[in-house]
Amino acid sequence: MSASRIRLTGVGHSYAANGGLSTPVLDGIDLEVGQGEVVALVGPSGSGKSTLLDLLEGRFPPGRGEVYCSPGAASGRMARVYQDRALLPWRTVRENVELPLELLRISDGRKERVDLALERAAVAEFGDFLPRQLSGGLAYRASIARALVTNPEILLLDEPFGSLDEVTAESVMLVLGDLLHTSTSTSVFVTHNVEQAVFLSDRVVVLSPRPTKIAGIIEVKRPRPRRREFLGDASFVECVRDVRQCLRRDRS
Amino acid sequence: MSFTGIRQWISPGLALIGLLALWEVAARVTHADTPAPTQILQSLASDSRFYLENAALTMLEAVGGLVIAIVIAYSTASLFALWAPVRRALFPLVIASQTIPLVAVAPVLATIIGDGLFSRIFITAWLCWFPLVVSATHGLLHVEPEHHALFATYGASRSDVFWKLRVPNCTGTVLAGMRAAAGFAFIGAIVVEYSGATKGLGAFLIAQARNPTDPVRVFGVVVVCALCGLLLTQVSHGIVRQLLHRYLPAER
Repeated sequence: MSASRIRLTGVGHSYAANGGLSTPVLDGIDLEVGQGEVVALVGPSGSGKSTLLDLLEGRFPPGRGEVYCSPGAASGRMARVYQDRALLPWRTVRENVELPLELLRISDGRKERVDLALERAAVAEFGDFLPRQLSGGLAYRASIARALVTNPEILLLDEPFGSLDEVTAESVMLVLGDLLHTSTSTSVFVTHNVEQAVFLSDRVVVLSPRPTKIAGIIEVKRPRPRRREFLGDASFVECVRDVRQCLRRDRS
Repeated sequence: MSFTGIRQWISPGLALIGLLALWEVAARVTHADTPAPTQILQSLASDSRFYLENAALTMLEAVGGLVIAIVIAYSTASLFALWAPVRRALFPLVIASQTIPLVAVAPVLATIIGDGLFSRIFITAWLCWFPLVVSATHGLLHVEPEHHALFATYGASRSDVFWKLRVPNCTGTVLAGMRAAAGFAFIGAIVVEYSGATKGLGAFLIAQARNPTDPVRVFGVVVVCALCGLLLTQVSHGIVRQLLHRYLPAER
């Protein structure tokens, strides 16, 4: 593995509940993610997958342990694609994609960068649309374009296919697979879907139920980018089976 | 308006015609002091100069008050949104101020700032700023956490968060506040005229309440009041809607 961009050492975190009791969410997470690597976090609902992304994004410090992420939050070199897309409803797709450049005061070649990001995410023809005029898949692609416009070094993706139907999810998955391959970003994404995790990532990190530990790490050996045919490949099926076994083993 | 839109007005329209017919018959049969609808209509047509002059004055007070209220309310709401200590100290007082009934406040304010057109406009502004300041404060403060996190990821300045996120975010609530405030503005203008004004719809109503000499005009003024209130609400709503079209949530 090349130099680590992300390193979690003994990370634990609890959420304070009513009455002062705290609910442990993460417990002793150790993980390293190298430059340009794509890592999927898979686990049951409530296993703290999004909390891990929040910690990487620097929204709050961990209760225990250390989180190292370089470049870190507010550097402008990290981007996150949110589960609910988080597109500003009053801005067109193009204006949404332009927003990070505005906030980072980047004016050189702004139009070209926005055009390129729209094109890469395959939403160029919807640039003048408002988010409410987009389907779920297009909205997701628009939020990917926004994340890519700054050429982030760290890319965090939260439930990329959460609310998409199967056909749309597959088309978004193929677009995302190409984007992750052509981008130099170090990417971490959380998902419920084992097939999508295997298809897109270099490693699938399986998380246990709460308090969450790492139940297993499955390496996907087929180099990226992967084509649709990979979905029927024996190595794909084997990886999916390994991840599922790991998930089941830890539940039982 | 679609056929479904028209159809929903058929029943209340027929009910209104039925009620007016009943009223007409009752007034003619009983020869009571209450004028018949046709007498009121006749008065509105033949005495239009009287109604227009008084309505114009009351409308001027209402519109002037509304405009001043908008300026003061949005400045105050911005202060509340930007400086939490100011909000914590003053917002409860703003809420508490509204427990004093409208009719009790108007004469007190008239005593403090005097009589005359401008003071009546200012009192009207005071009476209708409340829904505006509450809705604007709510809209400025209640931003989606993901949107906030997005801005934080790119190291957005306080000014960027305010102008590019909070202000556009509050436009939906602005519309709701504006609708309520326009209604309050007209009621406020009428109530303000109760305290010493010699002209205007409210001044005529209070004079007639003390010394009833012209019941037909009283009913005519009530009709004009209803029409003016509706006009002010709809026009202000329409203008805001037109100006803020793209910022508003999708039609449901």
